[in-house]
Amino acid sequence: MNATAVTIFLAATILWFLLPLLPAIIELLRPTDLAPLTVVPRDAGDVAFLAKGFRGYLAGQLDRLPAETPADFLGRLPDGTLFGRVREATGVLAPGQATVQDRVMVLETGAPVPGDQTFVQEIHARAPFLGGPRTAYRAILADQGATLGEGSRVLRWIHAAGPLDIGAGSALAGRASSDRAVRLGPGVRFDRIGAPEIVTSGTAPAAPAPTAPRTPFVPPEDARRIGDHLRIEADLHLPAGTDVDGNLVVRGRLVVGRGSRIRGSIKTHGEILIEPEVEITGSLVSRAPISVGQGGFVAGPIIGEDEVRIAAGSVIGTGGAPTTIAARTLTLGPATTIFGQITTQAGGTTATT
Amino acid sequence: MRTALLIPLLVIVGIVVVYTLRHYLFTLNRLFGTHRQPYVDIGVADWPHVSVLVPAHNEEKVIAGMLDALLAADYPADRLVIVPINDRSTDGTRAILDAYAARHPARVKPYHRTDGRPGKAAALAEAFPTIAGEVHLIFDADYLPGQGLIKQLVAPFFDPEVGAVMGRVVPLNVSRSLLTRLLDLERSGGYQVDQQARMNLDLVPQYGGTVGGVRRSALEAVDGWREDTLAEDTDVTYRLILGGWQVVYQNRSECYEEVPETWPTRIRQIKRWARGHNQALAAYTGRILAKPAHLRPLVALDGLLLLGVFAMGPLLLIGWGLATTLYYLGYQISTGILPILAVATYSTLGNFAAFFEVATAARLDGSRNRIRLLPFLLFGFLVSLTSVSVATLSQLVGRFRGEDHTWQKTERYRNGPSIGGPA
Repeated sequence: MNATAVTIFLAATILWFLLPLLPAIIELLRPTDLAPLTVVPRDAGDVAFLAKGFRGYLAGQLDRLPAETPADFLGRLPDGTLFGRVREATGVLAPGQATVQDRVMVLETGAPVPGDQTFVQEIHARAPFLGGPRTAYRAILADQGATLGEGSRVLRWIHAAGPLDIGAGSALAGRASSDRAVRLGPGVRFDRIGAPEIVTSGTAPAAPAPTAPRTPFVPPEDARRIGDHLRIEADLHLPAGTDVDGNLVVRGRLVVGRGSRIRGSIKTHGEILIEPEVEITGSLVSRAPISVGQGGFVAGPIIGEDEVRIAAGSVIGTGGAPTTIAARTLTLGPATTIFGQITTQAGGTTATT
Repeated sequence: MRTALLIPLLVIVGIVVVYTLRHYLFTLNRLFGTHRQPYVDIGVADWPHVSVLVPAHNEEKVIAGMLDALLAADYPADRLVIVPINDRSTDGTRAILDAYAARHPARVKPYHRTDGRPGKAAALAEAFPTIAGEVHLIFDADYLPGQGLIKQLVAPFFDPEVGAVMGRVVPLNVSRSLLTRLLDLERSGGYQVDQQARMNLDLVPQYGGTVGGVRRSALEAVDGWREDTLAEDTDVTYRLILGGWQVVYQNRSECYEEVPETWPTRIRQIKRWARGHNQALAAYTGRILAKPAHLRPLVALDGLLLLGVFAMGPLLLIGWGLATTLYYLGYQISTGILPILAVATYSTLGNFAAFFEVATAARLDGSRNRIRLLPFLLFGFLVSLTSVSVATLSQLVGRFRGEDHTWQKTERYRNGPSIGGPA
């Protein structure tokens, strides 16, 4: 074999080897994807982040509108988005047959929005907002209070600076928040809610009868003290009126008897069943279902990787120390109060009665 | 003779196959399994007192950026104390820390070391008894935590069983060299797939020594930081697991870091990791095999496999040597072992971030063209394989000679994108 043949053979071999590397070599020599991965931005914990973003966007657009734009105006924003502003006239919002509104709307009137409407763009309500029944919204930013009629649907987010009232049977996809309070009617479905106070409609149960003095918790013999918690490797049933001082980690199922008090946090690997009138000063954590009985109180976060049920009249968090419920699904009974934030992965609902 | 060579080869092939299956299990879990992040949505709570520890040895290039980022954190100011641990610095680090302490006396409280054993582990061990706070978060000095990161890393400690938490490390200086781009891919595989899969499967996520933290009472229960280890992170992970605590990983708790930009720096770094990890392998394998009652069998198995990741390099080299020797001795490996070894080696070469994992991580991260560099990871893995093997060998030799391996600081650059991170 002569030198030329050897050279050709070698070159062909090298090319054959390099062929699968071609995309890599091109990317190395002419980089197209050099930026660091974007980390989760600072909005991660802010329920009202999208509302704040919309406020900023709209303010920027309105600043660029001609000064002589009439108070009642149907047109386009400077970026071309269809836009409507209602200050005096009520024609746009007049009741009638079901309509679809495809403009970003700024409502400066307190006139109620008729029922059975569909708003496919955002609404900025500068006056108290009153929505009719069965109306669907993409998103609402309310500078004051907002009330949604029965059977309303919010597809992305809603934020109110004042109280936010959600009518029975409504559905809140995405985020719902208020700087004051959120009141949820019966049968409301939701994903994520944040407010200093979140309450569900209904009547609180009657005050419980005085209970007998609590008895100190006697740990099972095989319980182990690990750091600042007590670990139990099996199921645990705390009798009614038990007083536990410290954190508990239970490998199995946990039942906390009526009227007990846990001065600490609870973590279980099995189900947690909390009977009525139990007080927990710490957090409640489980990979299995959690059920908080009627009139219960949990001061710290509830972290449930499965279903969480909060029975009537229960209180989670306090006004001075708000907290979070994070669950896969959440059911809230009547007259429950949550101070802080609710996050669900697969949705939550309020009781229908 | 042949049998004497074949038996260890079969053992090595078996171990390689187990690691291969482990990689596939983790990757398939990330592609098709449920993503667990139970604590990340806790945005509102009665937050505990936290101390953020920043060990710093000659960090004048980066420490100010780190302190600025921590001072801007979204966390109640009266519950957050920043404790930079000046570890015998000879540059301007001390002056910078003192200037910050003077400006923020209630929030920045430096701890100055002037002597003692060098290294992060020793620095943490010495400072720990003097530092308050229910939760101790630890960051290396070249990291740039975002505003929400402190809350995210503290949130898991509302679970009373959690002893340590680990966040995700994201390279910032990706564009500097081929090495930084490869490390970017490798980190993605290690965190997005490997760590998160172990979190999903309730196995053993590893506390990685930075962008993470420990519960003070848990650390006290396992006798605090040990100063005689080169990998205090692996060491404390295993002591916590054996002590009945959980270590959890939060994929969304991300923080930028600088990765090594030159191969010599990278080789020094991975050698140090290997020596530290091997220390833990020697210290904790027996205790895991003894399996305390609280340790589930799968957790024990995963713990053992995690301990052994840096032992895989030398084992692979030994396996290649055995196979080659057997071949020249005339033994025809025709019973299916060779293909298994070939496939398993291909999948396991990187141990911690094999190709399938990296490709999956790039997809999960929504990366675009950086995955094209995947074939070049072979070079990075070969360098790692060699470095880890050399480190392990020198460690074994040193052990016989009674030598004490010293800690070596990783070089800093701070010449990538601006301190605030990418736009």
